[in-house]
Amino acid sequence: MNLLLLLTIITGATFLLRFAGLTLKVAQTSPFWERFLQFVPISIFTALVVSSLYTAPELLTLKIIALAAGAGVMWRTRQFGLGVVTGLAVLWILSLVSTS
Amino acid sequence: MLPLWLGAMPFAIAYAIAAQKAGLNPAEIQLMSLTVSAAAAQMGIVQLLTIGASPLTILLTVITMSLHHVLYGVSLAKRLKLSRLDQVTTAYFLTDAAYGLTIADKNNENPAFLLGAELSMFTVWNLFTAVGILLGHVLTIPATAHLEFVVSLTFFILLISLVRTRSAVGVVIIAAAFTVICLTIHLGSLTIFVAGIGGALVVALLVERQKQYSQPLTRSARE
Repeated sequence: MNLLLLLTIITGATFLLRFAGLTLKVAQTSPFWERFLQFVPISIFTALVVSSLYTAPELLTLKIIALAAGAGVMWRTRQFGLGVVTGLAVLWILSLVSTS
Repeated sequence: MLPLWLGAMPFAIAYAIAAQKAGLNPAEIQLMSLTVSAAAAQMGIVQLLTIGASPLTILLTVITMSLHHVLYGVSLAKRLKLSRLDQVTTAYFLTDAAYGLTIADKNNENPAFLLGAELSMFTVWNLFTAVGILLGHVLTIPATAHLEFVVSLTFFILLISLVRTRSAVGVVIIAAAFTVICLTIHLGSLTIFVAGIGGALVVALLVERQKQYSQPLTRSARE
């Protein structure tokens, strides 16, 4: 199949998935679904973080320490960017120390 | 937004380099960033093209990788008042990062914030795809830089800001368990969707059950 045609179909399919979600009106129907939707971002962010930790199991401990450091700095300073930079710096330092 | 841009930049360059190696021409590489505009899905497409997978396999893989976007849409529709035009534009540009930033602020009900976040990510992604196409052969990002970790870090920090109740802690534990199980049984690209639904659904059911049990108890205690 032509790549251009494949990309067109993929673009259409992914757009429809996103659009379908935005047009569904489940939220107004019951308190149960409202609660479910409140939990969805927490659940998906957890899945994204945990699955990313699995991509390089040899760095698991270092990544957990870096995540804790980043979250700790964000919690203390309320500065989102500073938390991210700290976490990344901690991972850099720890991975350099562990390989040397 | 800056940390998320920082996370997207190396991914976009890496995608462009991988796509060149897979035999795609510059126009096709850039077109994919303009139309699909999703890091994981584009990397998946390139990998599958490299191994000569069938178009149907590629399509089904991308769909399973994008299923959780349905949940993003439902969750955003609850929070934001979106006109039909807003729905079309936000659906086209929707990414994990833009969704995360919008939903993390509980008071944020402005569709313009979501669209702004989406467009900024789209611009950076496409700009650095072009950088990868033009300079990919001279640019080397050392693996020790771990720039891909910025994405996990960002989502973790957004997650911390969302967890405020015991039920939310329960969602984190159940979703983490679901993710580990899905990864252990090699569910692959369906992991995020299954764990995302599983964590939220199990805790929503538990809270519902608890409410059903506590109501008769409260009534009998009054009597």
